[in-house]
Amino acid sequence: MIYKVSYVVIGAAHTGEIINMDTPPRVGDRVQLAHEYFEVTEVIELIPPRGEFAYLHATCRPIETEQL
Amino acid sequence: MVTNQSIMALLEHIELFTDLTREQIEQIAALGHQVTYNAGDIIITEGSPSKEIYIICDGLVEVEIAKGAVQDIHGAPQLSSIVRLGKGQVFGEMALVDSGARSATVRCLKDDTRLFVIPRRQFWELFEDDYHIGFIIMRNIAVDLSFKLRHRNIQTRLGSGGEV
Repeated sequence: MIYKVSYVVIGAAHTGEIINMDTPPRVGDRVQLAHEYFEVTEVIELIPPRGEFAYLHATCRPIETEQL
Repeated sequence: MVTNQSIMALLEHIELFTDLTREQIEQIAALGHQVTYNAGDIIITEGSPSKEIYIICDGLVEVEIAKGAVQDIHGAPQLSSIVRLGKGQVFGEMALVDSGARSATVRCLKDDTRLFVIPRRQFWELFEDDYHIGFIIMRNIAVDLSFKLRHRNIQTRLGSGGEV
């Protein structure tokens, strides 16, 4: 399965990202978007799967420096 | 060196080509070519004529639109980032649908970002020759545009996005 993920960041001036991943994001994951790290706070299915693709949305928040 | 086999291995797992056979994807692969960009390179410019569709094989790009009124975008507009696109994503697809001018500027964010570029005219000629391929590609583009719209809707709902 290929996971097409819409990442949207709240609490920081970040554009968000759409990217294909080999594994789905999960709540609590730390993800790197460009050069910054964020924590996933929500994952939902955006569109039902088609073929080998799953379509997900993940909401993220910034990780405080001391948490890294 | 990037071989035809490695390009095919990549294109077979691109969403745009979902539900096409290997032979059909080979037909499309024969139309395009690979290009590499480095961080900071402008790949397409808002308002310019559109001639190609781009698939991100590897790397990251940023999609930006000019602020202000449309008539003011020429010159040196202030750009606002709307999304970053990574591996497997497609951009320039609106041109394939409507033949209009570029709706956004796309800037490369990572060195050695590899793109597969397909000229619009040759793509359309293939669609005219094979309506089934044309239907599947257009349906897949519709799904991709829908996904991007849903992403944008969530950004708006959450008050996210904006300048970086």
